[in-house]
Amino acid sequence: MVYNWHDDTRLGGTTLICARTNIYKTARGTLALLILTALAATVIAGCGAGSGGSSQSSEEQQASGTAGSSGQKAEDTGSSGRTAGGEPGHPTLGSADAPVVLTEYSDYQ
Amino acid sequence: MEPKLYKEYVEDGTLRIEWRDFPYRGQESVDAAVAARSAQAQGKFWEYHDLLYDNQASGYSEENLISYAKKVGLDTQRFRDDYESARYAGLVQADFQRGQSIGVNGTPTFFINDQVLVGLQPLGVFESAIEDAKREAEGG
Repeated sequence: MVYNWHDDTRLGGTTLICARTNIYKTARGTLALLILTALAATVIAGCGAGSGGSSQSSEEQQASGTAGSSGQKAEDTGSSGRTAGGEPGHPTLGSADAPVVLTEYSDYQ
Repeated sequence: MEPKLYKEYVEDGTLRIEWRDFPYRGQESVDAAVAARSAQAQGKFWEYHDLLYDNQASGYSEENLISYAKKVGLDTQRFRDDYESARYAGLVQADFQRGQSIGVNGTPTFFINDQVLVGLQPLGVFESAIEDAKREAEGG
């Protein structure tokens, strides 16, 4: 299966141009500090919770680092997969065990 | 998705791609997203997704959306029922709200593990971000 790159610039008949080239990394030091603080608080509270696990979606990792834990579970269902409620999960391509997860928020226009 | 990325990283198990709907450009965006989720219910999300992008210029009228369903070999009656009843609109809405809650305000927005890429990017940017994320995931 080929997952075609959608290139809005095709409309302009040009090659790929960065709409916004600002790749940025999160402030990892701050993120690490937040995670350590959260873990420490968890241990102190006696909950004994571990880490979120590697199957957590990338955007969920982001969200947990910036807006606190959302409690949303990672859904690794593929295009034909289903959630417990019988509805399709998020469309995915690739292995559920992949070390890198690319989550794309997009629309069709 | 750039076929090279798929071949380089998805096929060898390094990368998983997850789609989230963020239809913020009007009703046709929403309609297309709901239609794609209806195709997903029949196991043909990506085929339908590709067809939507291939036909951006034609627009996403109901007639067009149903014709695309035919093209990818869907059960068109079931597709029509699901689409017209907006059966999967809640999934689209949930994605949209989730995106808003984590700061997405335009498309495309990509999260590659802990990196964020906003807007279209050259292939090399993705390759670099994926390689970085892979190294980090491996403890490097």
